[in-house]
Amino acid sequence: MKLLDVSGLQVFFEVGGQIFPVVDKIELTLSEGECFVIAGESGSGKSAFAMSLLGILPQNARVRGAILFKGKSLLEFDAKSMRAVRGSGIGYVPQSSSTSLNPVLRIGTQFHHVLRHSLNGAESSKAVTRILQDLGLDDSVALMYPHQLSEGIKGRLLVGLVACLDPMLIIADEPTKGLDTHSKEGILRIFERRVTQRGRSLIMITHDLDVAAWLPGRLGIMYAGEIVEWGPVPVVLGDDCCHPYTLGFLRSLPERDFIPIPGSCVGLLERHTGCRFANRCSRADAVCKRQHPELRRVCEDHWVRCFHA
Amino acid sequence: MLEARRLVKVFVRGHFLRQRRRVIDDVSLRIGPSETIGLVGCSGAGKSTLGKLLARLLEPTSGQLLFRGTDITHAKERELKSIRRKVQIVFQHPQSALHPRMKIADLLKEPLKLHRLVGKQQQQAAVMEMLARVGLHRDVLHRYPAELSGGEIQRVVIARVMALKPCIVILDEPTSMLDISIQAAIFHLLMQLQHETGVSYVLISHDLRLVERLCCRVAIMERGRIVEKREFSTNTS
Ligand SMILES: Nc1ncnc2c1ncn2[C@@H]1O[C@H](COP(=O)(O)OP(=O)(O)OP(=O)(O)O)[C@@H](O)[C@H]1O
Ligand SMILES: Nc1ncnc2c1ncn2[C@@H]1O[C@H](COP(=O)(O)OP(=O)(O)O)[C@@H](O)[C@H]1O
Ligand code: SF4
Ligand SMILES: [Mg+2]
Ligand SMILES: [Mg+2]
Repeated sequence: MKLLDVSGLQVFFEVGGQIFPVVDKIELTLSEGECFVIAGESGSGKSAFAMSLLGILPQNARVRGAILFKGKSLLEFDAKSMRAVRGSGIGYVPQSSSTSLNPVLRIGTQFHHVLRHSLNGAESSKAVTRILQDLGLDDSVALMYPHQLSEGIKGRLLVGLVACLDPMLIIADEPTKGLDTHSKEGILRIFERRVTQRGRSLIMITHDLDVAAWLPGRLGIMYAGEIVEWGPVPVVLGDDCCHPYTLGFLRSLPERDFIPIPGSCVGLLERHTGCRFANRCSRADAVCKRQHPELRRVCEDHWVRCFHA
Repeated sequence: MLEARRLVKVFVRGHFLRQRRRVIDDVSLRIGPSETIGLVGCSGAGKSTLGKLLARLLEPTSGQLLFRGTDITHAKERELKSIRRKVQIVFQHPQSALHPRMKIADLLKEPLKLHRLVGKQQQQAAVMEMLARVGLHRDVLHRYPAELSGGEIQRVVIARVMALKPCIVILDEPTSMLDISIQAAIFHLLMQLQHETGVSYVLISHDLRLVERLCCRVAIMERGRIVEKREFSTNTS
């Protein structure tokens, strides 16, 4: 049995009586000890997808499809059971990590809150010291409030906080964004240890390709609510048979051409016909504008949603 | 244009122990027109704090800050008013910069109204131009900030800042919420605006490849000090 089995997952947002589709028919399976990295256009629905797995979408969201976690259908869970899943089943590192720490509590207190269900006071203090050490942070951090800490330190703390619950699966939404190399490595080492030593799983959203390549696993590229390409990280980032969006994405790296993809993404309500990338794609032809491409296997374990790739 | 002379910022922590920490220690920096200066360094080095000092959102403990020759080190809020428009800052986390109960359309109009930049009739057109410049779809106009993705919010913030026609913009990891294609687009836009208006940027970033690509000078910070300055001749504007 797979740890996570997502099929036909769709997310909609209702704004002013209108329904906006933001995530479309995502299929994903994940075993224990596996990593899946998601990259892609901002606004393409990566965070919405992550939040749908955790059942923490805002009120105006609707979800369709199936999410099986350890064989159980999460979409049928009530709020209380979902909270239990979020405790030890699925951990979450939200996108704006620095605003997710409680601003009025000292860092140490926040760790104790998380640990109090499993450890007594003295054990918990010892554990906090060890976690801070692991994160490469000074003991004194435990006495500080979030606003007194820089972004890099807050980012590391949040990952530490989630990891100390030891969930089966961590979903991390851009956990290294805006952090320096040192903090990034601190975070990646925590993930790495969990995956390789404890067989835990990880879904990580990131735009940082160095980060994506750190852990072995698959990479999915999202565009306009769909996964447009997925496969092993080196294959997707490699030279041959890429989706035109992935190619454009790679070309816009500062160390490569630093050229943005021309134009902008189709509006949420204009996604009816054809390929959603067609208005920005140099290879688009009449077929692309008329028909919607399905994910197609181009070689072993490498899938691309494009007629001409 | 903006000159920092031997800036020091000390934070006092705790009411009883009154621990003092020199977060910025003897920093001097000069920013000329049409320049892009990089500020790099590891986490906690004091980059964001220095950014806030340069924008005078924080008052330095000692040292001097000059804007176009005028000493603004200890200027009062009223005197700072005109400087606030000229020296803008784009924060690492943009959510806090936008009023959560205002629609994007109104948020974009706000700076235009506040500083009377265009007449009432031209407002709508100006807003559409701002949107197009940062590559946002019209769809967003009737939504609230909480209903946008991180990248979309940051583009709204940049659109608002640039509408004020500032002289200096401090960009604190400005694209940390954006994907790399939009990052490239935003920097092309920022560079084009620099070309047109002579605005200067202080770019705080951890991405050395980005800094090398864009900056003419880079200051490397460590524990509150500038420990090294580097020039990139290829980028001098
Ligand atoms: N209000 C405050 N009170 C006490 N200490 C503070 C305060 N604000 C910042 N600091 C401390 O000052 C140091 C510099 O913080 P700053 O936010 O400038 O770092 P930074 O270089 O921007 O780091 P990052 O890259 O992680 O954003 C840090 O050690 C931080 O803990
Ligand atoms: N609460 C909400 N109400 C309406 N639309 C939303 C809401 N949250 C996000 N959206 C929209 O959903 C789309 C996907 O957002 P998100 O998942 O945050 O993107 P990503 O994480 O890929 O950058 C965006 O177009 C965004 O504007
Ligand atoms: S299907 Fe056509 S428009 Fe879409 S990415 Fe492929 S070539 Fe471009
Ligand atoms: Mg997101
Ligand atoms: Mg900072």
